[in-house]
Amino acid sequence: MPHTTSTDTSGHVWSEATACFRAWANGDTGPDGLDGLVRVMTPVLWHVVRSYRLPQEAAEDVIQSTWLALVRRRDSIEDAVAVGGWLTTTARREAWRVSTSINKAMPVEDEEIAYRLPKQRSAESEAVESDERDQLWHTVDSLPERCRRLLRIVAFENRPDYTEVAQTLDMPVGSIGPTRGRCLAKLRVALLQNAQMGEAR
Amino acid sequence: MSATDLSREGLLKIVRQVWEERDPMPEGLVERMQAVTQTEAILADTDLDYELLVLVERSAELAGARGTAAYTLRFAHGQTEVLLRAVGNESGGARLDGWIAPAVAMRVRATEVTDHGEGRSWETETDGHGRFEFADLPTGLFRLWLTPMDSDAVAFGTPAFEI
Repeated sequence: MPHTTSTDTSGHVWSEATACFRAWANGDTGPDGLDGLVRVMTPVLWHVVRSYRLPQEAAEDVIQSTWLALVRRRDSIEDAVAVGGWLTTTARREAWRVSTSINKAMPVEDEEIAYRLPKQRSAESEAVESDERDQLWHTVDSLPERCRRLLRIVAFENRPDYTEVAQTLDMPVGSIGPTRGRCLAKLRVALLQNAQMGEAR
Repeated sequence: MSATDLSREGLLKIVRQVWEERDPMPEGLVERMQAVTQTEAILADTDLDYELLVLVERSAELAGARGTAAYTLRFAHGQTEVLLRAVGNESGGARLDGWIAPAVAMRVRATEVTDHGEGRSWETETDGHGRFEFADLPTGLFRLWLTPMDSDAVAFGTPAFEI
């Protein structure tokens, strides 16, 4: 997959962020320090912020203000392990704030459609792979809107604070855990159904 | 798809893959954020203390007979507001008009944000109505710094924005 950047968010992103933050605290602003932290965490912030349906420019603005806040308040982060969570939480709060002011004035549908349009596929050799990929897209699409948003946040963040997530998604606090479970179950069933249909063909 | 991992981690990995393919991060975003953080990190080591203005509104419009793009940005911090309007000019750069309210006598510096941190800079001053202008800035990523003539008052800085 040529344009996949950093799919494995399951562990090394967070430890790399921590290592870069430590190095930066010791004065390293280069690829193993500040620059590295920005390289590792910006893709994660992108997906967290876009879960709030912000247009591209607004999403970039939120990500920038998150980074500026970090540089300006670096000393307030006492434990380097917390830097990833600090960044995603700050970005999520700001994305939510901006989305509540934007969405009043602007319908969200256009933006949603824009990234739903299938990309142009050129090479025929990609056909099988892209068929599978399209199926995955459709499967995720078939989930209810709140499932899609919640799973995107949960997938890219590292153990987010559910109380906060609930607030920003307009969901009851106690419901996030069970909803996440139901959404994952729905996705699992949809994938199994797709697989069976694939075998039947 | 026969080997699809349907564990919780496997499913979350699928969700990540789908979003990374369908809504990938814009080109150059990491580099822009690196430029911004490098500039800010250098500032953090100096004595310059400033309040960060927050972008509260952004709008684009088509202006001029040849359809030159123009846009306005509105920044705020507490009671202070800064309005910027950028219009492409004939030399391929941009004219930047600004207003600060309440009108305070300020030195205004526009600095380029580049991969190597802060680049070239341009300076002007506000008039009695809080207006200022840069007639010809090159295109690129910029930040504005507004420093009061009365040195006791607080200085402001904008986040980086693209011209």
